[in-house]
Amino acid sequence: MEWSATLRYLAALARANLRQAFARPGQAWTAIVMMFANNLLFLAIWVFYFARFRDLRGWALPDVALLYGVAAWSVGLLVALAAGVRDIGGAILGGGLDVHLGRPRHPLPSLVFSRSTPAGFGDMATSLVLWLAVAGRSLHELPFIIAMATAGSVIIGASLTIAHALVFWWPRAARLGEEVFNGMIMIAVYPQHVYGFAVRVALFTILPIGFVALLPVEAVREADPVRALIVFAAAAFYAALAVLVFNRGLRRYRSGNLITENR
Amino acid sequence: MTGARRCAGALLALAQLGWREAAAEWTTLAGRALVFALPVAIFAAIWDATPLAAITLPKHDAAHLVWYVTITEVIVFAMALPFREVEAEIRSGRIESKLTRPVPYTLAVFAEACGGGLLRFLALAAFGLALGFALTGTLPVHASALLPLLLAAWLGCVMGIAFQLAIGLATPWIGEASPLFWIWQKGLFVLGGLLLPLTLYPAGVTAVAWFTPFPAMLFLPAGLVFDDGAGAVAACLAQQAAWSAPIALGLALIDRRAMARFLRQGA
Repeated sequence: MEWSATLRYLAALARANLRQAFARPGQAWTAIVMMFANNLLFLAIWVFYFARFRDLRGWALPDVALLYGVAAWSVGLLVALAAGVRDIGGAILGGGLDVHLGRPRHPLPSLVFSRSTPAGFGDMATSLVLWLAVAGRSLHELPFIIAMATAGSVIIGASLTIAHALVFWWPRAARLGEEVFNGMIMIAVYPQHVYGFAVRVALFTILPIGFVALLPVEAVREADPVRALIVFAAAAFYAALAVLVFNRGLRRYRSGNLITENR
Repeated sequence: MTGARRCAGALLALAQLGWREAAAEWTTLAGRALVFALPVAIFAAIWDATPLAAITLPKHDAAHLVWYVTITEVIVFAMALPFREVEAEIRSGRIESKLTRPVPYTLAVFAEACGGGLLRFLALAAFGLALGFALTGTLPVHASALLPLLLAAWLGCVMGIAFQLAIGLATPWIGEASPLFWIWQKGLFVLGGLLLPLTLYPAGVTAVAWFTPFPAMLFLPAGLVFDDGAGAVAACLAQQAAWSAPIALGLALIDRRAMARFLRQGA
């Protein structure tokens, strides 16, 4: 019962955000179309690369398209439904957290689901096109790929929550969350199988992009349920860690703590 | 003191303000340097894994290609996102108070963005030099060509700042400048040769790219790693100068139309 009530609550928040995001439909659709075109343009670099070189250590254009699609879905889903995750640090610093603390539920869901960015739907649309038209995946594989990419979305959201929650302890880290977001996107869209051991360890721990891009793509390529289970377990772990860090930080929160920022 | 000299003095002061603001945000700059290192390190690994032996073009080995990406990334990261400030000021209406100042708004924002951009450029260039050397064990160009390389890269950065201001000033017509920026940015990345030099592109795409200003912003300065002779440097600077004129003219035109609109109907 508790779970279904929480899901209904989250769905209601998402619906409200979407209504707000599409209040100006022209702008929202422009953003979606532009993001779609933006992604396809970026993929052109890989088209040129593979026109010149046959493969990249066993990967060809369809593999990169699969990877790019997974990364785009992970980021797109996050910003389409839960763009508020990028505002957590600002809300903590500016005292905006008070609004969410005044509600009868845990403040994190309402904070995370407080904003929707329509461009995220452009990312998601790109993913479908890349998976089906460029990566050569079939329709019956889609649910599995989407599940993998959605788990990646949870991991990115959790990582951002942790980065933003550092503001509770270190007010100057307000922009760190955005840098982490940009960094994660930047790594996720490039093939990671070419990295050495040390970098791979970092990608599965400090900045867990390996669980967002490399492992899901390998799970799909090899149709490997073990790798898929690892991705889901990582999503659950990082989500729990994010809640834990946020709760610890919340104990330090003082209303309207702009004073802390300026100290 | 003439009006022009007063205006120049004000613009210099604004550039210094931009420099100081960027210096004050050193934590952001440090974070940016780390994010900047990512694509360089990523492409160092990618070029290392690429069968480059098939390429017959001069100096197109892994070390020079890593230097190429390092330079293009310095340019892109140093210019930052000044369009966002213009967009935010227009959308919030704050621009109206700035229009009453004696210095033209767009020139003032340009000077401030260049001041901050120069600090970021020098810091990232120094960091990039260390990073590139650590990854390749070589220098990007012959020591005598380092200064021209820096100048050409900085010019590419300034051209990008001017472009971005024009995008920001388009906000009143398009509502939100970000989507237009994404397309421009990807045009810069693809047709400018952010990650792959144009010399590795299919011939048809390269031909199209040369009709745009993007190669002058990225490929030409970074391409000096493949040919740092006096002729290549001169050709690079001449093309940058040739493209700077239409970019400045375009910015002036959109500025005029935007200012006329603000004065007529507000932000």
